[in-house]
Amino acid sequence: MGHDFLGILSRSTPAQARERLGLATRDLDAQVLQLTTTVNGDNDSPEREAIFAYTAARWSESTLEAQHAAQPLDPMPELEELLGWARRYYGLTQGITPELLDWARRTFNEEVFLAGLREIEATGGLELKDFMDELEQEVAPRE
Amino acid sequence: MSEMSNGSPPYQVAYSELVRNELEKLIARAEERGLGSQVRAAVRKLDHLLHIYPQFGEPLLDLSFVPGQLRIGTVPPLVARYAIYEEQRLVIVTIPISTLPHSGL
Repeated sequence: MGHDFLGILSRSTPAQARERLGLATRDLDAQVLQLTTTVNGDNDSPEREAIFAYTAARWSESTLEAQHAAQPLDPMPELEELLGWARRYYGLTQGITPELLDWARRTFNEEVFLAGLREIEATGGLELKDFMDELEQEVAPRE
Repeated sequence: MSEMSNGSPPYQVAYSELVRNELEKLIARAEERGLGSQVRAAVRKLDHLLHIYPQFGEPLLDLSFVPGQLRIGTVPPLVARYAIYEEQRLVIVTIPISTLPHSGL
């Protein structure tokens, strides 16, 4: 796997990459997964960024396919492994425990969720950059 | 937030007023306990991830009226529940962001 492969990967959507490389979906996922075992360097290296961008786009593609087919999302093992790699790429090694999942489901308040959804539909919602600086100024650091 | 190398646009991330207000309280509490910079950095990292890779969290439940998914993601010491609407490339955060157990907050 050389520079051509990485170049295609980094400049293409997954569908374009499959077409240019003449590979089936699962085969390309497997090749990208294999690439994760050989890339070295900083997190910001072009190789890692290309793999990350591919993984994120593949997830999005799979989700939309499942939604359009009204089927549950059932990613192939190669894609699952790529997602695990992407989590580690961002240092997200702490998994969600069953207790935390249970807490999240038990305390999910549908009314609060829907009220927020309606507010965002009506107003467009807030972006973090709109209010984070303001919050930091309001709460003067005491460290 | 710029697009990724393969041309994928970032997700739009929208927070509700309630989330903003509760985040203000959380940051104030963190400052009082000497954890302010850690929490502020986690908030920014969480927001960054939601823009480029909201799938980092675990699925909680499927949303029905508009096809979407509620997920839970952790960026220690924070826990966020958020909805992804893939078709619109939209992420909404309407449930206040919490902290992990034993985080000291």
